[in-house]
Amino acid sequence: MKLVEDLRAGNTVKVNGNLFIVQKAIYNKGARGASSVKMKLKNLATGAMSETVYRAGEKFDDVVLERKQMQYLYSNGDFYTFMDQETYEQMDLTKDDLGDALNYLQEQMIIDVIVYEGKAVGVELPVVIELEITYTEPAVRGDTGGKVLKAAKINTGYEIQVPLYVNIGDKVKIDTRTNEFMSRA
Amino acid sequence: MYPPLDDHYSYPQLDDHRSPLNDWWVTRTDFTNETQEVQVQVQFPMIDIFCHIIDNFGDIGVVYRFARTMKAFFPKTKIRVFVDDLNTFKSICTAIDQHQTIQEHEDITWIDLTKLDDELMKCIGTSELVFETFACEIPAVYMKRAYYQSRLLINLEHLSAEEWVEGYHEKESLLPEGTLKKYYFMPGFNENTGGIIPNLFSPLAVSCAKERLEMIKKYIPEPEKAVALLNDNSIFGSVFTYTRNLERLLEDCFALSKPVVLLSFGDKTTNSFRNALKKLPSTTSDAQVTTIHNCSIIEMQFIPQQEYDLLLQLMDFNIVRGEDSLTRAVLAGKPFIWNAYIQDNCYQIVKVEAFCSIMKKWLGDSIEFDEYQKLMVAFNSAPDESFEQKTNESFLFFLKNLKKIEHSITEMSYFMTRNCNLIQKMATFINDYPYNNE
Repeated sequence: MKLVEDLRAGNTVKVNGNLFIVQKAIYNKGARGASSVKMKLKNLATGAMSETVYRAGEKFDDVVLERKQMQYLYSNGDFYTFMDQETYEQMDLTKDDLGDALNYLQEQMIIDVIVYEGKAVGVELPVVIELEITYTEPAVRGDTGGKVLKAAKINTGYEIQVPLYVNIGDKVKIDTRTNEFMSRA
Repeated sequence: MYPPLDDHYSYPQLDDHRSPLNDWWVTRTDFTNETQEVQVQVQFPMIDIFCHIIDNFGDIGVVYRFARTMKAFFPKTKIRVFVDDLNTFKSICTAIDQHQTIQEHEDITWIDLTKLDDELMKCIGTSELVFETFACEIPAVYMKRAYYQSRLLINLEHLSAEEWVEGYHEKESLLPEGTLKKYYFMPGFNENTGGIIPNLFSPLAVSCAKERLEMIKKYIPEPEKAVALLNDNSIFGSVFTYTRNLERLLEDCFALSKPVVLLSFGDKTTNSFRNALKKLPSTTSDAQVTTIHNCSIIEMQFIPQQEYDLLLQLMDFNIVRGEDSLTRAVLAGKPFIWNAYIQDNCYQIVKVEAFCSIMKKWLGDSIEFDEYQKLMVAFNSAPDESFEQKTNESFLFFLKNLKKIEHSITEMSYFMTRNCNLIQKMATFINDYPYNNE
């Protein structure tokens, strides 16, 4: 069983007899300490997409499907092509299949591709990923109090929030479940 | 008291009748639509509502109001409310007997949730439409039946002004078994959310300040004790907060040239006032009224929800706490300050700032909104409930601009009434639910 707040893009869950792959998961803090999670799910049997909402703390049957270590080669716009590291077989995924993982995908990256009935259905990112900061504004002197964050672009083009002391060129660790900065690498 | 209605707004059909709770005329706003009502009656003759009380009266206050409002809109639908703490509920609804497992009150069936077991379930069964409020966990003994016997489960969430709420509204939540479908219903302050629970009695027609004073006096225990400050010219404010430091509020009221009468609601507010007053000299007080300088602080007895709603409309300003009172303050159309529920890491500030961004749409052109927002944020900046909070709010801007603020908030209240009626939105969602196609 897995808590809904621990689910992330690429995880597979079984709900009411149906298999779903998580494509996006967004966590939000509600009133009075209650929190909820919105997930975009794809039904692996029908291909149907649905946006669903859960309260934090709900548990899911997580299902481990076959996964293959593959290298991301390139994108031709509609499809993203991956290559099996052992057989050199190539498989395509769509933007929807990749979900949130797209934020961190770089060419040549080795990643777990999830395979269901012989077909690639998604990817699973590691919980922690290291990427380089390509742009952020310099910190303003004196503006260094507690939790102050600033926007920063990583080398995939995705924007995250980082502490003021982070500079261009720094490698940082990011929690891919929450898209939050963890530390400098 | 209220500006004339413009071309873009007209009240729904109005039926004058005498409120059962008061001896003056009020206007009941009837939002119900006969066609809508019949559809819901046919599809769902019974509704079950579940409530888990966490602390204070926030959960049960909203659920009590929701159940009563649903009943008023859909009088033919049987409504049952399962509550897990009848003692707390009794505090806001004194007619409740906390020892009864099942009881009727206000044409609603109230069931002690702690007594819900297999035997009781065999007697009472499930309803086709079920509400869980604030994602409370419905007991397995009910759910094992509901998964297959009920049709629609709606989680009525907390009210929030944050933008993300729109993306969660009316979204499905997959259930682990059965044919039951579950959806999230997110209350909020715009048309893309579930809206807010309307007042059942609104608006109050008051012709002059003297009449207003007479109405207010009816709520005040022993008004002759505060008679010196109870006059047409006084500024009246209701105060209902969590435990906090209220010294700044008093100091800023002292700085006004008019008499100020503050009505203190709830133990937390009253204790906060008592603590603040201890530090001030020359206080005259008896059990319920304290007078100092130009201010009288009156400790109010508990009053029923609908009377509180009416009283808010009679005030010059209201300080409210939590979710339900915030909604009532908005609908009262009077200037208000919100004391949000305190969360870890001062997360309430995020909620308050989101709410301020909604308020700005109405207040932005009439006042220096930054000053109002500064007050709201500062007032909510304490990390916990304490008499000694070091918050640095200043109420003077607010207190000196009550008329300007009132005009804008009245417009806001019209907009909410017209476009953000939670019951209407809920009925539409229920009626549009495609169970006929299954």
